[in-house]
Amino acid sequence: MIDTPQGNIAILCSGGDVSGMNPAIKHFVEYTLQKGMQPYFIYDGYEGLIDGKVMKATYGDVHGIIPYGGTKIRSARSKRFMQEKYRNIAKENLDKHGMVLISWLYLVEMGAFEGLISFIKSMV
Amino acid sequence: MGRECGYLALVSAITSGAELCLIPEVPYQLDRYEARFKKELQEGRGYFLAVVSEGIDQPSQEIAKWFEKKIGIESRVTVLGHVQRGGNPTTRDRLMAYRFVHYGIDALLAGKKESIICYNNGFFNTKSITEVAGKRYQLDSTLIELFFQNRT
Repeated sequence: MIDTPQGNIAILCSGGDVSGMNPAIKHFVEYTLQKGMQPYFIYDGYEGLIDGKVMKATYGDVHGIIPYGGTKIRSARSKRFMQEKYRNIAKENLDKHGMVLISWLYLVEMGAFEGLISFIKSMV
Repeated sequence: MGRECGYLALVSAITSGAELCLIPEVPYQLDRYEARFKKELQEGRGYFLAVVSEGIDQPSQEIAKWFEKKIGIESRVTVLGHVQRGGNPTTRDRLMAYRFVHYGIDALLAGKKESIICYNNGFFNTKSITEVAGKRYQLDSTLIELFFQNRT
């Protein structure tokens, strides 16, 4: 984990999707680029994090998405993420993709909290 | 939507002008609405809108049947969920999303690595994840009173 603004940063949408995630994703990309960071998308929530669905994000990915409901990078509920074994895989995937995260942001429904706490503790 | 929290259903009921709202926070007996609803029908009400929260054990179909049998009005159930999640974000949704993400990134850059961005009473702040997780959101009692006073 690094503390400089030049780091990589990723966003994922967990739990059920909801209107407003797309505007959030758009601003995430634009604001992090403005701050000198490299934004990434993790598709399909924690499931995608476990499966390594990590992609660099560009302006082109987010133009025109604000009016649409749901989320362009999709969300998922992940039972696997509740298990430590899979959280370790998720962490390895972040490292493998050069995702030295400053930390990472996510938009949450309450469901995913328990796994998330353990995950954050393992990363900080 | 909303799991065991009736906030979305309550706010939807208030803002859509619903006549009946069932949420987990407020115990209910349908029979207590019967006389009034019938009277309202006779006095010119054309239809009823009932909002049933997720987290209510009674199936919505049963509540629709109650309207048909006891109140005597044809009823239909519409299950929101994907329709709602897939709906276009409102202006407020967009502004809130923008602000949540913005403050989240600012918090990370300020070194707050275990934070949740929270919105309380019109203000944004950060809380640690352990402060938020596992705690049940308490629905604003004045909001409950606003809708339910003199109704049940």
